[in-house]
Amino acid sequence: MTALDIIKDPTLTIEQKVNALAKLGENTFEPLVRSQKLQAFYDEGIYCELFEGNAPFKPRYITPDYEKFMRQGSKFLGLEPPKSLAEALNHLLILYHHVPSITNFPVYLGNLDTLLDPFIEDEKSARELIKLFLLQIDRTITDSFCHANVGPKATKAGWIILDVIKELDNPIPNLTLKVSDETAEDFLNEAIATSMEVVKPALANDAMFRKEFKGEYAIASCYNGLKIGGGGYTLTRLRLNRIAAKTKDLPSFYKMLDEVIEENLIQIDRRISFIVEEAKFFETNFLALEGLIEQEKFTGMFGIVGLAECVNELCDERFGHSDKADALGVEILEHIQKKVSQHDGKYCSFFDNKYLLHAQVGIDTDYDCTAGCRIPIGDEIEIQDHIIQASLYHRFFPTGIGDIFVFDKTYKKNIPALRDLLDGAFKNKMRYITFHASDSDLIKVTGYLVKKSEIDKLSKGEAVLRDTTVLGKGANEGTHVFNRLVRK
Amino acid sequence: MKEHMSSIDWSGSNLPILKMYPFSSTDGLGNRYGVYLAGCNFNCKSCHNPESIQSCINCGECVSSCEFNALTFHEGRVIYNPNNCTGCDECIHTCNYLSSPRLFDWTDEKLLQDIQKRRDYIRGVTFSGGEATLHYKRLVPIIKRIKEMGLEVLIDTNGSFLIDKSFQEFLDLVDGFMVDIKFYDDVMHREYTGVSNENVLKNIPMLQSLEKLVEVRTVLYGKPNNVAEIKKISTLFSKDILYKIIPYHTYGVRKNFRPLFEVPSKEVIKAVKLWMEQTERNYTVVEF
Repeated sequence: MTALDIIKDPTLTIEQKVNALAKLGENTFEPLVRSQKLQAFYDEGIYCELFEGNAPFKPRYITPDYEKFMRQGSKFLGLEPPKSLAEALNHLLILYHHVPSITNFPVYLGNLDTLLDPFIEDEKSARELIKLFLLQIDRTITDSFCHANVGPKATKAGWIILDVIKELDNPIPNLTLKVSDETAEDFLNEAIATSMEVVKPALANDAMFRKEFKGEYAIASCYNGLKIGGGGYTLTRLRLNRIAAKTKDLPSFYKMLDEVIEENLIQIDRRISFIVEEAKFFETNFLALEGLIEQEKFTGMFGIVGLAECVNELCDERFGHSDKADALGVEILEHIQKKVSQHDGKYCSFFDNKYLLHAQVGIDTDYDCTAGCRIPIGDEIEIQDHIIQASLYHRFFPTGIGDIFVFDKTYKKNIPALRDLLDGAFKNKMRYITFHASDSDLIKVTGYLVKKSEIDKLSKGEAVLRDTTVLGKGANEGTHVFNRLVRK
Repeated sequence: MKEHMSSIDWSGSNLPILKMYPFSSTDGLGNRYGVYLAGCNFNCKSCHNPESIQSCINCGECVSSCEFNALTFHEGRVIYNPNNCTGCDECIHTCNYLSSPRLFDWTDEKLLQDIQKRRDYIRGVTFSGGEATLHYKRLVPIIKRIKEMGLEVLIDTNGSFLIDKSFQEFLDLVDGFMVDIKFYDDVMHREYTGVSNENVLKNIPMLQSLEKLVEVRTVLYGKPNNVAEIKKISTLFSKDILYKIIPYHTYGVRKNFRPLFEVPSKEVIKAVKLWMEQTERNYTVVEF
């Protein structure tokens, strides 16, 4: 695509054109030339850099310590610590504008309930202010990878947020409830009921994340677990199915897999070094200078997709439908985990110098591979068996994996049924789960939310506010995300 | 009342399982494993699954009706192969004995293992039918095992069971009953179900006094108009017990009985809802 193509595209807003032109500019040179081997994997679609650009000058995902910001304000932004709810909300909106990411929008907005709860006095006026705040986010952070968190404990602010997001019915921000033993029963039920209306919040297994991230963690972008006050430097991914398709048996698969892993790890090292040493992000950006982020709390994210198609290529039985095939999936992941953990990564001492695995949710141009370790759409199995199967893989991916289940609207009358499923899922080490109803206008594409009505507009050639609508349209055309099995 | 079928000796054979729902959100609060058993002591003219009324006698009539080789006759028994079944229902339409050849030939052990596998995802098991209480003797040891797994057991019933000494153990074990009551008026009850409702009227308040009445259900018709019946039925239990109203639909009802019933109009449904609201009852009207 040329600059002129971008400029002339009638379906792009000005903001979307500016972002696309900036990416085009970044890609006019190549400071991190890929090795010959890696370039061959790149050309075959085995290795992919997920739109990060040739010259990463900022981390892909940043999850600032917003609690600290509330305590200290910001010298760079000229803000004193907030003293009222109105100030707190305004300060956050200001800071969000300055939190970079792959999308140029913040991918993490903080644990909103715990941030705001200390400022809540009159609940009625608090509700009005929080509603305006969330509306402003949806209309100005026009990218659904923007993610807020609530929980695990129920708070006044948490109740207000659930109530308001239901009323607003907007795709942005994405929302996750951290669920632990401390989450009140009625709050959790309300959260599930809300997700059956507006597809959020998704539910995170707090105990699992908290252990892996040694305390506080953020859920950002689609479902990415990251350290608060840190983030993810870079996310590249391997299409496991394409490796399998190029090899003739299991030994040759593992041989090629090892080569790709090795090349990917080297490139992650180089990309991180470029952000830190060449772009000098942490020496120059105020978030780092004021201690809202710390370099060592970032890590590299090692992404994979297409486990299902990979297993189906290598095994005579079908992924999700046979213990043998599912076990091969586990074996492959154990292999990858071992190889990645043997590598000493760059600038990630909080994680003992290790990069972490990520089950990538797919991109809009994928057509031959299913997100992470999910069972392909159209090939789903009975709900409990599906959850049991998915739970086999969640433990491998601290920086993110998740499954989405769509239910008939009759489930709105029996939320405890979904509670039972959730209890079983978390007990069996499922990490992250989304329940939604089949009749909502909002839909979870892979990990982000879009409105079906906006996609219809885009299909007619009109420009739409949110850039993720474009991705949602592509994802549906490639992997039929609107056709997930409806559980009755 | 015709002979209570609990006297049938099912011991030694597998439970006549019509269907299992490992994940059911409509058989009680939360997520439950539903087991539907064949055999009923009523013969309701509006029954939506009349093939559950009797248990298969292995006459073999249905075998030749199956175009998909899902049924075979072997050593005097009809063998069902679910892998070939398309669910066309030709077999149950052919059956002259109100039964289904599509029984799952599962041992108690196999059923319990399947429940165990799903234990973390459900809060209980519901036995339905047909009339599940007909099998109470067979169910007692199974229920004991299910309760050892930490799960609740609910029974879906027409409420006609007779409580005697041997039934008492079953009654004590079960956590709750969901009673589907057809009519309050005994003449109507006899006309549409073939039996008296004498026991049903006694059992509903009795179950409530034991704190084992979880839910009461009634099908709402346009014809015969049973709004007044529903009001009378609701005097049998307190307002806080869920009263589930199911608008009649024709699916599955035997053709010869269809002229006897009509689907309730929106106005009739609205009137029932209004009455429930006014009397502050815990109720729900099922939507299809």
